[in-house]
Amino acid sequence: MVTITGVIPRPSTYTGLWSWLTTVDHKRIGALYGFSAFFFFVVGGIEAGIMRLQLVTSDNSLVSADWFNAMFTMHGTTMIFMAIMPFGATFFNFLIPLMIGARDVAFPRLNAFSYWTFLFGALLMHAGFLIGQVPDAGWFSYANLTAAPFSEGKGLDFWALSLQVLGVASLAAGFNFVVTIINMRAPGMSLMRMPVFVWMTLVTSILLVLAFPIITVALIELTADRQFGANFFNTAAGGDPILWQHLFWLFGHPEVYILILPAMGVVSEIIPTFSRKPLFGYPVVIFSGIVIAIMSWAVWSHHMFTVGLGAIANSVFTITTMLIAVPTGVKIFNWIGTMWSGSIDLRTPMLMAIGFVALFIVGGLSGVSHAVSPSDFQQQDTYYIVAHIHYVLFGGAIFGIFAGIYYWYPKITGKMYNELLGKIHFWLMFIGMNLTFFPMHYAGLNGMPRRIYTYAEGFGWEGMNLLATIGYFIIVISLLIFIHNFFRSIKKGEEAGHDPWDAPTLEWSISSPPPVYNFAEVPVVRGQDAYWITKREAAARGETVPAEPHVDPDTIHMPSPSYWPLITSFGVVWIAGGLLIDVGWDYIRFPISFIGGIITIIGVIGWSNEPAAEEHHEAAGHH
Amino acid sequence: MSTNPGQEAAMAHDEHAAHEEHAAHEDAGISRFFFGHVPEGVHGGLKQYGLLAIFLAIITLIEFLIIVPEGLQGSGVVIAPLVILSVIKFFCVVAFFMHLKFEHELLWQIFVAGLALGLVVALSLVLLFGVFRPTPRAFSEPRQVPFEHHVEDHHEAVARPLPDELPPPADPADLAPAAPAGATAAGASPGQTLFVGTAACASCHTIQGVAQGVLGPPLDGIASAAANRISGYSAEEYIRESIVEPDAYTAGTADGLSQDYQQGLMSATMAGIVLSDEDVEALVEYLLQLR
Amino acid sequence: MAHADTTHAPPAHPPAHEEETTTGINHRKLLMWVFLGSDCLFFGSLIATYMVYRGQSIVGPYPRDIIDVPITTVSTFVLLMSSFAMVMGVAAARNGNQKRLIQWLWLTIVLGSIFIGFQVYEFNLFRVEGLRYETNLFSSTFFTLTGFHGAHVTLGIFWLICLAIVAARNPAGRPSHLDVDIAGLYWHFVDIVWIVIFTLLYLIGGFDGPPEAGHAAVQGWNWVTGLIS
Repeated sequence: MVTITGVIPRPSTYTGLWSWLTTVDHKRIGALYGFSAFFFFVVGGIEAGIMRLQLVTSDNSLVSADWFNAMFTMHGTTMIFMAIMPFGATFFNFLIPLMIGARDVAFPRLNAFSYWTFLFGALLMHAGFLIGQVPDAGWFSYANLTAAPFSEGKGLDFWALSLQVLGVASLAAGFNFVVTIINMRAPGMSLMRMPVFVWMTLVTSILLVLAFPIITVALIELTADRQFGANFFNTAAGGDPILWQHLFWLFGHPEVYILILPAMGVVSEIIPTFSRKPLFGYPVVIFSGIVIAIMSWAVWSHHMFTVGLGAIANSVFTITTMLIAVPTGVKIFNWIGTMWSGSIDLRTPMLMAIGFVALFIVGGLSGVSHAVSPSDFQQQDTYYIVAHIHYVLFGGAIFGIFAGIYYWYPKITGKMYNELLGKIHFWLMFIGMNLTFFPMHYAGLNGMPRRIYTYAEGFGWEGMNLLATIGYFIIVISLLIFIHNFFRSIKKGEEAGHDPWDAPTLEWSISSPPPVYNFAEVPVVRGQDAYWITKREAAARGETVPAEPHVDPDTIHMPSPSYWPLITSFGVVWIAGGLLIDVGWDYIRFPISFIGGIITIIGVIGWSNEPAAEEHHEAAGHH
Repeated sequence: MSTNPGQEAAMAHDEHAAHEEHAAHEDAGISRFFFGHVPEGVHGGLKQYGLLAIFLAIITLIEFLIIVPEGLQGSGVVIAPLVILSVIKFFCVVAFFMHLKFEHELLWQIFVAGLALGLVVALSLVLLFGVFRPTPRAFSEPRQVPFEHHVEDHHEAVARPLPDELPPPADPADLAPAAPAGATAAGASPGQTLFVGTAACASCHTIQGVAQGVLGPPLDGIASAAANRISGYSAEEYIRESIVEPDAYTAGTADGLSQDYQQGLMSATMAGIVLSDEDVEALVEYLLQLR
Repeated sequence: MAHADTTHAPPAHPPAHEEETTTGINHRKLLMWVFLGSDCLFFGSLIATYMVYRGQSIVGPYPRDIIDVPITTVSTFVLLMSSFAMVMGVAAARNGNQKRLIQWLWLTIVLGSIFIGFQVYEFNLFRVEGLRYETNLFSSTFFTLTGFHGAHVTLGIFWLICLAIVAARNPAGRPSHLDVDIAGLYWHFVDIVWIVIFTLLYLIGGFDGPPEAGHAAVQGWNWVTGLIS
């Protein structure tokens, strides 16, 4: 143990590739999350495009049925676990310490570990493409489709093991943010003074921490069935495939709120800023967020109305599902109430936020329509469900995420994006989104099943599918405009200043981009909308509030970069990857996987023997 | 979940505390440690923890003694006392060994939230798979399908076209996953109708063009194979026995099949299906045609 | 800049009272409790799987053929006593008694290892008697649940060995009371999980046979009414 830390000297650079690989700075990790998430968002988008092109007309044969299966599986998995969740993590990482007035998260190295584990897990999942073994059982991979006799090849092993790795990353991040938010708030920031985004992050993190163990168990059981011949979902031995559905959706429904609550938090920050009014009913918004989180545990079987749970179970879950619409509706009224008689400034973030509210209402309404179990019997497994999930996840989560990207762009980069291009992006995406997904409601109710790779002519589905494909390309164009705007503005955008929106939260009180230590002096919070209070008081004295001046970073004690998170992540993904090796001799994968375990242990030991921060020479004396 | 574990422990612990009363004066900790409010900075030592360890060991012994009488083993009567005893142990360890009694209340809330949710998840799954699960209709009893009754009884009264050309609306047929529609078309023998219908054979057995089950051996050419499978049995006898007493002989690789089939599976899955003698004869007659 | 000999650097983790937190709870302690809350769901789901499939195996060996309650009662006792040794170790660390700390830690490690030894013996016995991982539903659920518990115990043993080594090498104050305390929390949690497993899998479920006459619904009712009685 002694030698391990001695062998590899601590990284000491703050520039270049190694500084990014070993960074523990929450802002850099946030940026890494952001770019990775966008990359996988594009990958998932390309998969969606292949499906849209295949379905553009009847009896099309662009891709085979098998590849279509792979496409919809990977599209769902990628968008949910590798795009929207890490987009959420992007905002958590970059903003939470800034919003609560902290210098970093509670466990900076654990944070780095989360990111690298996420990245390696996502790459492992996509590594299946390289050898033509792609998961193809849908993003919820129902048993028995996943049983070894019905799913040959390694595709589902890639799925199960990579998702396990992604789960480790999410759990680590969840623990980290629960502790950070509970324990690292600036003086005076009581729970009921926290910005709504921080609240929603806390709720999301708690959901993560509680929901992911369940999918972990489900995936362990699936892996055991496939790799070790266990019987969990093996009907021949009396196993019950329905158990998979229960375990998956017990995780899966809280997961839906894990995806949407961060976006709700983002929107709850943006709407007050651009309405020039505090959030209407702040405690109610927070309370309904908490209620949503609690109730999300009581609705999972609404995904399973048609499996034959019986009248009692179906009735109970119908009622709970209809009830969960209430706190969601309350939030929508709060956002509208905030805008009501505010002086609204229709900048791009605000447009995106309003788009979020509008589209989320549509998705919410179709959601209530299949909360009713008899009605759901008609809609189950049709394009109506596809329309619903995309209204809440694209219209909801993605619009919320883009709202956040535009809103915090000046803070993160220090530059201002191009407003005109931003507005064009919004309108194209809004039109394209509705053109793509609205016709799916009709296609679904006219009987078009989801996940079919082609359809015969004469059902009257061609027109709706053509519209959807056109809409897809409008979304693509809007995203190209976004990419152009993003990179061009980093180079040529105007200097944004520290507080371009006159925003209420603490991150706007420091310079843009934020210095490595965030706050030279830890702020003291005296109420909700802390920075508004500071600015209004100064304005009453006829002063303006400048950005906090920079200080010499060496005078502030910050966590030091470290190799160990990267090494530990590598070990974890090696464990999973080793089990995927198939060279005929069955037992080779266990020793290979075991090597990964050793790497992980070495990483953990090195990690725990390394101080979180190197002592400064001045500081070394006082120990 | 809101019961104070300190109280629970207290109730269970009264006797011990009484015995150890003499020790209390030198260390005020003992009774206060377990039952009272302990100010910050005061902790237990060998005496307190040792007492608790003995207490926990005694509970474990009691738990063991409860299930020693053979009549009580596996009976429902012992469930409640065993669960209560282990809950007491559980909360003693949490409250004192993990000193959650002396910690910030937030830690209690966090742990109890996880614990309660885990309990709710486990309980609701057990309930969904047990009590609230409907009995599979198809296997519960052999019966005429109500819709057919309706049609027969009120033949004249029904105005719409009679479902002669429709497949029999027997719901078990829907449950047999792989029964192709053609199998029940007009002209199917009664045996074949049973095969894909109420007898649910098609759930597990394959016959080309009729059914595609994977759990049992394929039955194409079964009439020929059955004639030679067990010496002294005619094909008809073998098939009848295989239906009536599936466990008597389980086919496998020794019979030239591609795999060994699971002993006991057919009798277990067929346990709820009642076949009349005519049904069995119809099935045997049908299977004997598969040469 | 970089220290080559970081192990000789000052304590890796500053003692609890030096760290200022909003709630006054140390970060790592809070992390451990959140983790334990999360782990409740992990074991909850594994136990739920076992309970759902309880008494549903269609081929033997069944629990009643193979579960040995007396032996497991002994190993349960051993694990409970290891929890006692652990809590004494934490007390020693709090009092700064390094020698006692090391003794109690090693006692905990030995008791934990005996428990694992019992488990290895049991698993091997089951294998010899024809209960393999893939045999039936009982074997799959049983080995997965108890196996993951055993993995938790094994991890705990490694953790405590590390602490004992660190304590032996650093007479002055390492590992800190907090280091020992957090490892102790983990250790006790593993113990309480075993309390639940012992009751459900051995004392109650250890006498299960093949699927009983009647449907799972009947068994479910029996289970609930048994709970109420």
